[in-house]
Amino acid sequence: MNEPILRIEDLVVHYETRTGVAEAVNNVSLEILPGETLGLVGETGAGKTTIALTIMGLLPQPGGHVIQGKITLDGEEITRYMTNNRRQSNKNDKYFRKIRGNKVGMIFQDPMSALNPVYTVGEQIAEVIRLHNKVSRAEANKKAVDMMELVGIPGERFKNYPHEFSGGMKQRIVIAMALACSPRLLIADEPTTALDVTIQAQVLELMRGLRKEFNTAMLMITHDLGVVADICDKCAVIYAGQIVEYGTLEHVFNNPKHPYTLALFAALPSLDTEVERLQAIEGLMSDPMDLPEYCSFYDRCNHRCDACKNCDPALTEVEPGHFVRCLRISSEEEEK
Amino acid sequence: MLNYIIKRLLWMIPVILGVLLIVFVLSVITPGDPVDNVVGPDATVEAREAAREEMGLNDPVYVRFGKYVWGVVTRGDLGKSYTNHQPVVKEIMHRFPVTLKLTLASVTVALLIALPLGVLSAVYQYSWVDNVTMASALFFVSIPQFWFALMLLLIFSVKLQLLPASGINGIASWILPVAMIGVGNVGNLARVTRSSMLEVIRQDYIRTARAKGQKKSVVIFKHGLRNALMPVIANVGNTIGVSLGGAVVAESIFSIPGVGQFMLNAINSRDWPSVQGGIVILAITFSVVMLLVDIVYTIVDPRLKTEFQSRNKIRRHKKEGAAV
Amino acid sequence: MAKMYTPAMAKLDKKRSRSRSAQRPSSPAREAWIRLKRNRLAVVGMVILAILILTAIFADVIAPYGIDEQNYTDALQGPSLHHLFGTDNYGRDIFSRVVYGTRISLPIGLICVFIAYLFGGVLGALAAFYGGKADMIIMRILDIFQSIPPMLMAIAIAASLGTGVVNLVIAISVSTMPARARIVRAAILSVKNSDYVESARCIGAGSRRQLLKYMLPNALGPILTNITFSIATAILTVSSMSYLGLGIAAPTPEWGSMLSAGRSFIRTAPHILIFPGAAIMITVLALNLFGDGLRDALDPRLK
Repeated sequence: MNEPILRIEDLVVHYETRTGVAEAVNNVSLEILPGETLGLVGETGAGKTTIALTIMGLLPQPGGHVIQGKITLDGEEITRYMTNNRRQSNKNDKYFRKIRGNKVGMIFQDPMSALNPVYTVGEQIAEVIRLHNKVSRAEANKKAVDMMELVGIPGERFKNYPHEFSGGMKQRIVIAMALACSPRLLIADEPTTALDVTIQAQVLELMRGLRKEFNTAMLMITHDLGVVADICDKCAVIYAGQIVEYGTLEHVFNNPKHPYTLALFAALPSLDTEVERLQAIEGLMSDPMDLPEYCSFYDRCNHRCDACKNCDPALTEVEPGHFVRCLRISSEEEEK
Repeated sequence: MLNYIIKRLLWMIPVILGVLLIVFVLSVITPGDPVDNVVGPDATVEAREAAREEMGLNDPVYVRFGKYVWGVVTRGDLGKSYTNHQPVVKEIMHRFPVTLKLTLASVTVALLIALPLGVLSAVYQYSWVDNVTMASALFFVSIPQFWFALMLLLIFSVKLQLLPASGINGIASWILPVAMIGVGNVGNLARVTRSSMLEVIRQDYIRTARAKGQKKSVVIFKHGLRNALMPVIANVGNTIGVSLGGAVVAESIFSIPGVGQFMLNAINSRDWPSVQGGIVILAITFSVVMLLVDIVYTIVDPRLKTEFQSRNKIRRHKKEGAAV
Repeated sequence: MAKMYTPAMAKLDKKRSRSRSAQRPSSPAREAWIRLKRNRLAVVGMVILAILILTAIFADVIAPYGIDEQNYTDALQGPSLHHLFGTDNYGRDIFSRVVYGTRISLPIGLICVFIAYLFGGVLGALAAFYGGKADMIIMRILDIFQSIPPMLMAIAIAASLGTGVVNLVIAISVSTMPARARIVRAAILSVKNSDYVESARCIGAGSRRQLLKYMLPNALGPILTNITFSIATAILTVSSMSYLGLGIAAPTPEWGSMLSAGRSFIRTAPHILIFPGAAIMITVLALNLFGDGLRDALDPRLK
């Protein structure tokens, strides 16, 4: 039972552009058990979406390459089908087509543009059902109506077009589409970012309920620690394509270790303590085209020391299941 | 939907009146005395006066315009030719089918060539298909139609003697005129299709469709093409306008007995009613075609259908797209 | 929001960042110029245009023969060292006439577009800026004008006014004016409703100030691109009209009328037909190359 649904080991993804190579994902490893939800937290450009697209085999082409690492989905190694070999490309594509929408469902950030404006929402949900199940059009349509009802949209709106729905409702439809084939893993790429706060809560509530109902493992990509606290079991903080802190929700929220995680929490408004200003993190994330050889958070770190400039820290286990990538922490561990 | 079509049909009334006004104003400002073209310069003063009276030239301008419009509206009467004194409508209508066929054939052929090429260039952006297509498209939009026709004549009729140089008998005689009218349109439509398709395949819903496990080719044709067609359809109206103009030139070069040739001959013999009639008929044709294009547009884009169930915004939408 | 980022804002950014990094270019126009220079095809277009303009200026020097220099003994000769493009039925040197033709096509194309944009631009700007009733009335009138395809409109006007340079310019300007008005209107509308003009309004910029300072620079991109393409189209129309005998008549060495006059020699001396047409095509091609480059340079998002 405790075989993970998704295991990523040492994943490196690069984008090759005309101006250079962007190191989008660097040595990322993570694991999601059945029914478990992992929150992937980080700021824009940290490589969160790249990880999601890699799992789907949808890295932007040309340019996106998996340089190294292994992704195992439901016991099958999918990275084998990611070679850049031209002769293989048909086979690869065929393999991934069976995974997408079937084993892995994906919810995108902006529901406004995620639905095709010229087809009815019903057609669009039925499409994924017909792709992965041998059912008649009528059966697929019926299943689509069921899915719509399940996410709280009246079935008679099957024949409506996307523009006739509000943002929150569109996101519900996207969720229905992602779950229509009962996937083993659901990837949600900032599913609430583009929504109003009140709608966000509703959508999260819906996802929480559905996750139980379908017993789906979930990779929740977000930059909102509130969302993580709300829905996740585990949490990975990602910075400049690297996981800087990784552990259970309790580990990361009650005992954050990495300066970046600490800074993220300091930047959150709090009701308990009155503060004059929120603590912003100074500076910008390092350019993935030009990552430093040393710790990539060095330039913005409040705890930096000269030693930090001389090495790239490794992920260190500070307590069972809680990993931190910081020189300060690893040297403390060594001292112990 | 029906409301919209009725509204558009009603709008054609002021359009046609406007066209009549424009051609009428042009006939008034044309230098020279129209009587000269009917009776000849040597006619007696009495004969001239009689002709003037008969042509209604002694009425005030607005009465003449009123009579003209009245004639067009009630009897479909566009006046009589100065040269052979036949009703202009009759002369034009038996030439009209050729012009219409020529225009529609060339637009259809242009679409059949340009759409697949535009889609291919977008899907394989920067590949050799794309480069060749875009380079030829650029040549096609830059080549003067009539010169292209002359070069085709030179190669296929004079040198190779494969295709007839004039007239319209049999399928072979259509090839050169259709090619001449269509050449610029192929270039233009291929460019429009490509850029629209490029825009569409970067949209999120394309990624959604691929995330469903749909085949890339199906994604492109089912989810991409229908969206990418919108600007192309908006452009088809303009294309038909350009082709009507092209047909006039083609009829002159290939001696095709159509409305265009009729008009050009009329211009040479200063037979203004015939010129006027030709312009009016072609403008009405163009308006009807634009109406059809608008309707197709609303069928393809469901967003617009709901939009003018509440507000009538489609024209603004479409025109902005077509203005280029 | 990506939409909010406008060329004008880029300018501000650049100004702010200049102190930090000195090597950055200073204005959006300059940046566009740099992008334009990097576009090889656009450079080819510019070079050809430069050559054509120089040809027009120095036509007297370049052309080995006069426009009307007839030499019956040399009539209808094919291309040779004496007559690069051959001679026509009057024994005139076609190369010289094509060279002099640049003095006609380029300026006339420019003037047609200038006039069309002058009147169309004012109409479009008024429609866009005042909106409401004024917009509706102007656009409806333009609709009526546009229900006659431009080429037919030009033919009708030229037929009414008669041939000649002035009448041709009127015909082409009037027939293309509605389309130009639409371009200007669309360009202004697209910036009028944008957030940066909104913010200009918020800081209390007056009407004219708004129009000139905030809208025009940002609306200029699509208009400049369209002007380039319009000149290309105008040159094509001028030559077509002249070919049909409705424009500039022989013996003026207008490329279209040269083709019209040489038509009957298609069997005997096809070289008469080749070179003037090729000249039109090269001119139009250069303008289109330049226009494409300009469009990409002014709006890099389109790439």
